[in-house]
Amino acid sequence: MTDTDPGNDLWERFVSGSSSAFSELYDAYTDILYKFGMRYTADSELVKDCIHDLFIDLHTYRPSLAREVNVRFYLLKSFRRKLHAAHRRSSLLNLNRWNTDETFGVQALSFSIEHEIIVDEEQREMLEQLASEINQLPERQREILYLRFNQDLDYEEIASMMQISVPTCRTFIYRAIKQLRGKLACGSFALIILWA
Amino acid sequence: MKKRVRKSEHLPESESPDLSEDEKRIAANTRILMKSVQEEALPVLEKTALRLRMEETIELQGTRTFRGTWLAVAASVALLLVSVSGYFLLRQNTGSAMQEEASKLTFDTADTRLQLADRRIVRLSEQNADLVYKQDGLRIQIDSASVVEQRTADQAFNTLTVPYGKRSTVTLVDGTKIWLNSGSKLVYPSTSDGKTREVYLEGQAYFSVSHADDIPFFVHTKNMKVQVFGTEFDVSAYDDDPQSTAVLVKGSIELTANQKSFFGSKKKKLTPGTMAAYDPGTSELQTSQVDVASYISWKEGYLILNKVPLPDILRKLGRYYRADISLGSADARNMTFSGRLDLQEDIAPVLDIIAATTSLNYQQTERRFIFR
Repeated sequence: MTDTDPGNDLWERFVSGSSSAFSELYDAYTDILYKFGMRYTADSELVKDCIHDLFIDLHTYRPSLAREVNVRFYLLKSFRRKLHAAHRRSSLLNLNRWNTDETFGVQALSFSIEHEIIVDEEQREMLEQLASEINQLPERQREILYLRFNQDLDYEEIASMMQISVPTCRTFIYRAIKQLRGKLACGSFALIILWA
Repeated sequence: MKKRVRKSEHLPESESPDLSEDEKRIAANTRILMKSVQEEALPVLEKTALRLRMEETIELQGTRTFRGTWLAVAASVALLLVSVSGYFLLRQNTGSAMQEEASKLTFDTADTRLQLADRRIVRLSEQNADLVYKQDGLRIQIDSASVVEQRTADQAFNTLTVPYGKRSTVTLVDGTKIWLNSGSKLVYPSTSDGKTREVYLEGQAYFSVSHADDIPFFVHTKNMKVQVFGTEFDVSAYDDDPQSTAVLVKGSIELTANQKSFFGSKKKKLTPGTMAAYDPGTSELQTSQVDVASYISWKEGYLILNKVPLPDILRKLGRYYRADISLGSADARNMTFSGRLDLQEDIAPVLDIIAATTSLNYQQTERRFIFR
């Protein structure tokens, strides 16, 4: 973790017991957490319940929390754990007891590429194809790609979040990319856009 | 796209020395896609409500700690258990749960049918059944003559199926009135929890939603979701129509089409006098200014037509009168028709008018009509 999280200052005030910091923390991170949670389930009530529980935990255990953390990552990780637990509990309550479905991951994604960014019909087609392939990947692979490329987490962070080793995490990403075929168009406009 | 600059911008070099050029391009494209994932924001009101709920919990914890940590632990375990079962129940209260409910009931009889929360089915033989929900949905007044009472399980639904040839109106507990056209199904929660208002529609309905500032009213259909606060609009989502449409009469509505498509769950805010039409075949959502009266006149028992293609008219009339009306002449498919058809009349005079204006003839065998 090379850069300091802008939330660090806020976090230290929070751990030191400032009640306004708690409120600021809620304001600053609730939207991020909500959007993140909605990737895992379409059930917005469940996501809100987990946000509720997470902040209640933070409030309860405030004195014993570490001061030096990457706040955003710390919250995302704890939040993902809560979502996972809630997901497991609700599938336990499911009548379909034999279907002990342990899958938990990022659901099928819908993308919106703005027109100004990609005008080329061919590239659009290629991205569309890739989008459909991403959505066919196993949930955990899709989740890793999401954490890496959308949330910009590094390998160590993803590995710790998903409870796998760093090399495994690395392999996972290679494998996912190798699996994606994505209709390849000639030309390199995609890269140009990436570096732009 | 988000302009978030953080570490790891140089993906191909640092990440993947052993990836081929093509794979690097795929990685780059994956990044582009992942950066453009559609995100569902938490509405401001809900964020505030969640904060209040949190503060309540904290206050509750504060009073508990006086009596000792043990009680607090026990209480939070209990709270947890309650919220777990809460998840389960809340999960039911979604458009998809209602859609599933809708798929269980078919239009196999000539009667309008109301399925209650306790699975009893009430048959309504009137041409235009009128239902009014009272007392939190426990009593349903039917046609000012009879009253049905239902026992309710939390979060269970009522389903109203209106077959071809019939119409119906429903007034929900919150005062919202819904006109259902022929061949339609409406699923709605049997009781109101005061927090959400949601219905699922197949077919066509006209909604007059009573205003509630902080409680949005959702209409789900197979391909669309309409969110309103208090307004009047028509939604048409028949399986055998090529398009689903929403026409706004007054107020404002927000419409989301095809939430699952890769490149576009499409969102539009409508202004009065606008029609939004979603075509699942092409995934296109188009809006246009329309003459509102011609889209909502069916609820008053007549059709106003403005250059409507003949096949569309016959399909509408077929639903309305529960008749099989087909067009034998290929030339006539492109004909359009303008004018006003009074649907209070029987089917024969209505078809006579069409025959006279289009100079076609029709043959009748029981409920089958063929235009030539």
